[in-house]
Amino acid sequence: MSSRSEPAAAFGGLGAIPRAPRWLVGWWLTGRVAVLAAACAIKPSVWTLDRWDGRWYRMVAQYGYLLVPGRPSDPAFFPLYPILLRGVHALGIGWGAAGPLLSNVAFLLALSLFYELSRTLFSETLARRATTYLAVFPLSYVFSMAYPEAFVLVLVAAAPIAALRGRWWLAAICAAAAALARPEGLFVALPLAGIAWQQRERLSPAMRGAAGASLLAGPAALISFPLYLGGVLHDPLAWTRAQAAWGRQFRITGLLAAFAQLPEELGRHPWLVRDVLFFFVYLLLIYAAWRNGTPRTWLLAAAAVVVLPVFTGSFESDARFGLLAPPLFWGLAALTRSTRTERAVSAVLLVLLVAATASLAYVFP
Amino acid sequence: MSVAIGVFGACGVAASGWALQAAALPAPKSADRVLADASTWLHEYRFAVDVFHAGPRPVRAACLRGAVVRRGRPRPGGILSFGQRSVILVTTGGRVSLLSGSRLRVPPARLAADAGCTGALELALVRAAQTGDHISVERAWAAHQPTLALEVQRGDQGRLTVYVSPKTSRPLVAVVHAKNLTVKTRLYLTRIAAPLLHRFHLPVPGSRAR
Repeated sequence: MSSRSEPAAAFGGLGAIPRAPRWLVGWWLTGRVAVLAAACAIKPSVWTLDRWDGRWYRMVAQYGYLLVPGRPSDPAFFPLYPILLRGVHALGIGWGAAGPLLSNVAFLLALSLFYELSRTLFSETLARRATTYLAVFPLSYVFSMAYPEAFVLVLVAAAPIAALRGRWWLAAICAAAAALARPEGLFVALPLAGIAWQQRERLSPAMRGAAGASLLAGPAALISFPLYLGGVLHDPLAWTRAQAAWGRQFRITGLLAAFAQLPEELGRHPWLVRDVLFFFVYLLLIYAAWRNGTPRTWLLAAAAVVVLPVFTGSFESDARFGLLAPPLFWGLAALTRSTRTERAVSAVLLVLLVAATASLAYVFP
Repeated sequence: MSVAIGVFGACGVAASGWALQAAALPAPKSADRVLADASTWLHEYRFAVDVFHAGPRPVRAACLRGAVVRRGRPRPGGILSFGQRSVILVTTGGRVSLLSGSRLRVPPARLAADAGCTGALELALVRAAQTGDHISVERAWAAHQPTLALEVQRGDQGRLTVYVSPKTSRPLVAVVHAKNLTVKTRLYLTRIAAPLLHRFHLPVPGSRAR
């Protein structure tokens, strides 16, 4: 780094992106084979991994956005993943295979970056354990689907690594890309703020500016989405309208409403019990991460990822949203300290992963 | 200086994000836009007066969309009424059943509901938008005025053409083609009014259907 000028270094890559260790590739492979095998058992085609929201992302990639007022329509889905799908499709890969392929490859990169980040913040042992759990976490079948979660996880892990290495412009780009892919990507600004605060003494004025830009990058990228929708659909509020048609609207009383309506909702959608269960498990894991010394900005980001969606008045899909909160896996790793427990937990998670993938035949994640 | 760099960087991110989306994503086709606008009209109007052209002379009818209380339970759908001649219950699944009067031959009840009810038309357009069905739009003449003909290929269900106003995309005429049969109706999207409901023997929304 000393051989480069400071701005160039700030833009530079992640330094040596860690080559995925063999054990990590092994766990990635184990998890993905389990998911693909279970998915193929449901239906032997890419159909299983390319359905639900994947179909909407594909429609945006193929035809662009279209708001159908009062009806579920695609402006509810963020733009970066469809852009990537178009890129993969341009390489000659069919629309149906492009999503699962992109997600599976991105997940390997995400695991490597998550391992690197965890190693930087905690011990080697905890990093390895947390990465293993993430690779076979029950809901991790989403990382093989035509959903943006795997790619967002890459960015959520890459942004703080870049910041920790003083490459603040790169951190800004990653934070912006994360926010353009999923709303949860916005919360990566919180750990970035923590890192910037820690480095404040060492940073030059220019680098402080870059650090500030990285904090604003997520919201700025988010603003570009309604600007774009305003241009093509003549309605900058198309995202909000589409979300409302999908039954998602933020309300201050949303959390209370979610609990108040829970019995009725469970009666109509029994599968919702999965999301409710994971909601409480995630809260427990955030607590475990706090006990383990996880930085508070990370905990705050994790809490926002898990709790804020419930302010729409429903727990729906909260189990999936939590996948983008790294502290959950640090918390889980902190709970299991012996090798024997680690093996038992990994085996249980793997079995649950297969069962959860099979649930795709009945319910969206 | 730090603040200026930070703000400049954030503006750069917003501009780059917009440029990326504009460059990499396809803009919606004009046919899709017309379809979305037309479906908005159909969504906003629960009531339509129809003039069907399917036989030797035009036949007047009216369709009211909304929950129909039948056998004590509210069911989504609508009622298509030809006045004293025939009153038909239309479910959201596209099924039709006779509520009163005689069975329709001209126009066939199912196709009449597909063409003359805002709920069925909206559903057909929305499904086309959501499934990427083949949709096309071209200049046409209908209802004694220049229009845009929005054509939707619906696979086994045949073809639906909705003629809309070129300026507002308000649906004016709907034509359903299926199995060598064609039903055409002039659509008058209207606010619900008691005299019209009475004239077509339609129940006041919320009341029980027979």
